[in-house]
Amino acid sequence: MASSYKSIDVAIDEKGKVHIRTSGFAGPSCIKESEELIKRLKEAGLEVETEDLKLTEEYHAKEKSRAVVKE
Amino acid sequence: MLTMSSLRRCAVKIKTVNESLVRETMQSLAKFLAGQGFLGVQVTDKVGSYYVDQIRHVISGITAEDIRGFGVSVEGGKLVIVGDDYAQKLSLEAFTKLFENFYVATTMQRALQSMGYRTSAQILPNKTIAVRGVSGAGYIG
Repeated sequence: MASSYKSIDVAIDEKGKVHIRTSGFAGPSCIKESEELIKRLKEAGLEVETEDLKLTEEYHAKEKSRAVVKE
Repeated sequence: MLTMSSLRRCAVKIKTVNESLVRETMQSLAKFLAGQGFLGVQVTDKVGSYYVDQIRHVISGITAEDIRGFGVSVEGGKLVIVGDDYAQKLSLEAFTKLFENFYVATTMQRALQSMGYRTSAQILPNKTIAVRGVSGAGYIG
């Protein structure tokens, strides 16, 4: 069964750098979601400066392939 | 289905401090330190120095085997961390970095929850704090 769940994984390393990975979003909405997160962090009193941003395309092949048998 | 993922690296600083988040952060930090072998870790609102008459009231702090410990105050809206690290297992500098990282993690979880995500957090062996937010069908948490 196909899964539609979305996730945001954050890693705060020992030096305090914050790495945010968004997964499962359709198209560029992943960027909007991380921007919304940053907006809320700023509202909560954090100063957030993006140093690097990468966008990676992922093709999730969740459909089971069917063998086509030709006689 | 075509989905996209993004990877973002950010520099984060605490600009203004939320006292409720400070208290919540200190509880998490106390549990972490207890798990690291710090005996008798307690959350408190006052910490002392080697000279026991020097007690300082803080928003939240931790002490271990005696009154000495580390605490967090706010002065002019800014975070101020106080403590006496003489002969302690943890230096004031190390505590400050730990507290800041835990505070960011706590704030991150609250922000994700306000966006409708279910969150979990764990501290990895390399002291990286991993926060995960998930939403949508198909997640069994």
